[in-house]
Amino acid sequence: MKRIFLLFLVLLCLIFPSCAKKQEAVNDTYFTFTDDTGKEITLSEKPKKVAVLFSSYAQMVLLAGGSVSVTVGESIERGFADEGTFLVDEGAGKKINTELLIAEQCDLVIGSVDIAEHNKTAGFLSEAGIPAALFRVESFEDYERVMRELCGIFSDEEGYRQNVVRVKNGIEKVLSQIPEGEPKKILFVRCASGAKATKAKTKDNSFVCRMLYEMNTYNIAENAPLLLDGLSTEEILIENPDYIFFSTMGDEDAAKKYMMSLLEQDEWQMLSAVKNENYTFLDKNLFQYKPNDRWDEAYKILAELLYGKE
Amino acid sequence: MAKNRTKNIISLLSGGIVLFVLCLLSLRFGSAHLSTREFFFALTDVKRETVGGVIIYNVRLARLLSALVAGAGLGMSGAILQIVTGNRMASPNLVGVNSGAGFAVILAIWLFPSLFAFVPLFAFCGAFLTTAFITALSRKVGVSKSNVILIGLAVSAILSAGISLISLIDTDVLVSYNAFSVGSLSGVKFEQLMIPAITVGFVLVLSCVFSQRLDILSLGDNTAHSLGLCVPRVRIFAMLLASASASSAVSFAGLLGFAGLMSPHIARRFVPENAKILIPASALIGSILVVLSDFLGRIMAAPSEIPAGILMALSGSPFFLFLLLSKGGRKDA
Repeated sequence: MKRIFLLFLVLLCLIFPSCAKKQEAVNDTYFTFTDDTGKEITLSEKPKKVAVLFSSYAQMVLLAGGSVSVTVGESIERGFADEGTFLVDEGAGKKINTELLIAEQCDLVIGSVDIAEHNKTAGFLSEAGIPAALFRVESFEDYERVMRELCGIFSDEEGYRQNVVRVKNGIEKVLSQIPEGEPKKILFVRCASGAKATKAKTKDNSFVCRMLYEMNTYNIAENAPLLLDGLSTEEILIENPDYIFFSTMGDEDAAKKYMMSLLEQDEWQMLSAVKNENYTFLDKNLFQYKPNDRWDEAYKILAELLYGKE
Repeated sequence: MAKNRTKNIISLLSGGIVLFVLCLLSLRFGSAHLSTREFFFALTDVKRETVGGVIIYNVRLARLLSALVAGAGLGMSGAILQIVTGNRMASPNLVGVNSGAGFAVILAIWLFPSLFAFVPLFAFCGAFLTTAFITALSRKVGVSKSNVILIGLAVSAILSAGISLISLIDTDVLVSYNAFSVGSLSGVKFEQLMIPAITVGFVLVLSCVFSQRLDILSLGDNTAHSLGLCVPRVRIFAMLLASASASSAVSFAGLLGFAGLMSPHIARRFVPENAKILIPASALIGSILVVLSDFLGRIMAAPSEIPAGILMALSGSPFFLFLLLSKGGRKDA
C-alpha cells in the first residue's frame, strides 16, 4: 500500500512540472508566423542558433539581421557562412544529415519547400519539437514576403528597409522605363555540358522568365502546350527569337563551351539573335541563384540587354 | 524452297516500302509547319540557305538518318544475341551495352565536363568494353548461354550502382546524363553518324557471312559441337559483333530501349528463323520502330518533343506484351 502511494506521488511530481512548462510555453510567444506549407510556427524567444539548409535563404537570414549557425556547404562557398560553420550537407542541401541537425538543437531551422529532403527533415524536426519553416522564393514578391517574416523574427526593421524597400523601389523604376509596343521575342535556355536537349524554360518554372515576362517580352517556349524541357530546334528556327538568354548548370565553363559549340552550327547561325550577337550568358549569382537584395540589379541588367541599345 | 524465298523477298520488300513511306513522312512533317510548296522548295535548297532548307537537311534528315542507323544497329544486335543465347528475351542490355555506355557517359560528364564532343566515343567504348569484359569472364567459367546471361546481369547491376553513386555525389551531372539515358535523336549531326553507320554496315555483312554458323549454334551447344562448330569462339565473336552494332547506336542515340528486344520478335512474324534473313529483317524492323518513334515524338507534343526512347517504351511495351500473349507469341517465348 505504501509503495503504491509512493509511486502515485512520483507520478504526480512528473506530471505537474510538464503541465507548468506547457502553460509557460503557451503564454511566452515572441513571434508567430506561417511558413509556405501553411504551418503556423511560434517562437518563444528570438532564435540564437539558426540552421539554414539552403544557401539563398542563408543570405536572406543575414540580410534580416540574423546569423547562421548550421548550414550546407554551398552557403560557405557563396560566402554566406564562415568556414568553420557546422554543416549538415556538403553540397547544396539536397541530402541533409537529419541526425546531426537534431543533435545541434537549433532554435529554428529554415529550408526550402521545393526540396523533398527538406520536407522530410521538417517532419522529423517537428516531431522533435524543433521549429522548422519551409519557404519558396520564386519572385521578388516571394522574397519580399519571406523577408518580412525573417525581419520580424530577427527584429530588424532597418534590414527590411535596406534590403527590400530600397530594392523594390529600384525594380519599379526599371519597369516604369520599359517601352510599350510589340513584345520582344525571347528564348531562355538552361544549358549544361553535353546535354542534348535545348532546355527551354517558361515563367511557370523559371523566375528569370517571370522577370522577362514583366518586361514586355514574349517567350517562344510559351507556345508549347506541354513543355517537356526539350524545345524543338524547328520551332526555334521558325519563331526566330530576338534575344536568347542562357543560364548554365553544373560546370559553368563546360556548359558555356558546349553552348558556344552549338551556336556555331548551321541551324543556330540562321537565327537573327545569333547573327546579331543578341545572346547572353547570364550571371549565375543573379540568374541561377535567387538575386535576393540584388533583384533590382537583375531587372536592370535584363532591361539593358533588351532595350539598352534603343 | 523457291516459294519460301519469294515469300521472304516479298516480306523484306514490304518492310522496305513501309520504311520508305515513313522516311518521306518524317521529312515532310515535323514541329514546324511547312506548306507543300515550302517543303518542295526546301528540298531543292541543298546549300541550306533558307530556314526551310536548314530544317529539312540539318534537322529532319539528320534525325532520319540517325534513326535508321540506330534502329538497324539495335535490331541486328538483338537478333544476333537472341540466336547465340537461345533466349528470346535477350537484348543488347544483356551484354552490358546500356549499363556500360551509361556508366562511361556519366563518368565522362562528371570528370571531364569540357570533353562533351567525346561523349559518343566514351559511350561506344563503355558499351563495347563491358561486353568484352563479360565475354572474358564467361570464358573463365564456360561460355554457355546461362553463364553469359548471368554474368551480363551481374556486371550490369554493378555498373548501374556506379551510375547511381555518381549521380548521388554530384547531382548536377544528372541533367546531362538524363538526356542520354532517355534515348533521343535530338541534335545528332551528320558527322556523328559516319563511323556508326560504317560499323553497323560492317556488322550486317559479317553476320550474313557467318549466318550459317549462327544457325548451327541456335540448334544447341551439344548439337553445334557435334557438327564441328567451335561453340565458345563463335558465341564470343557473335556477342562482340552484336555489341559493336549496339554500341555504335547508343553512342549517338543514347539508351534507346526495346528496339533490340522487340525487332527480332516482330521480324519472326514475317520471316523464318534463319539468321541470313532474320538479322537483316530485324535491322529493317528496328529502323522502322525508331523512325516511327522519333517521328511521332516530334509531332505529338509539338513544339515540344517526346524523346524517341520514351515513346518506344510507352508504345513498345504494350505491343510487346500483346505479342507475347497472342498465339504466335506463346510459341516465340
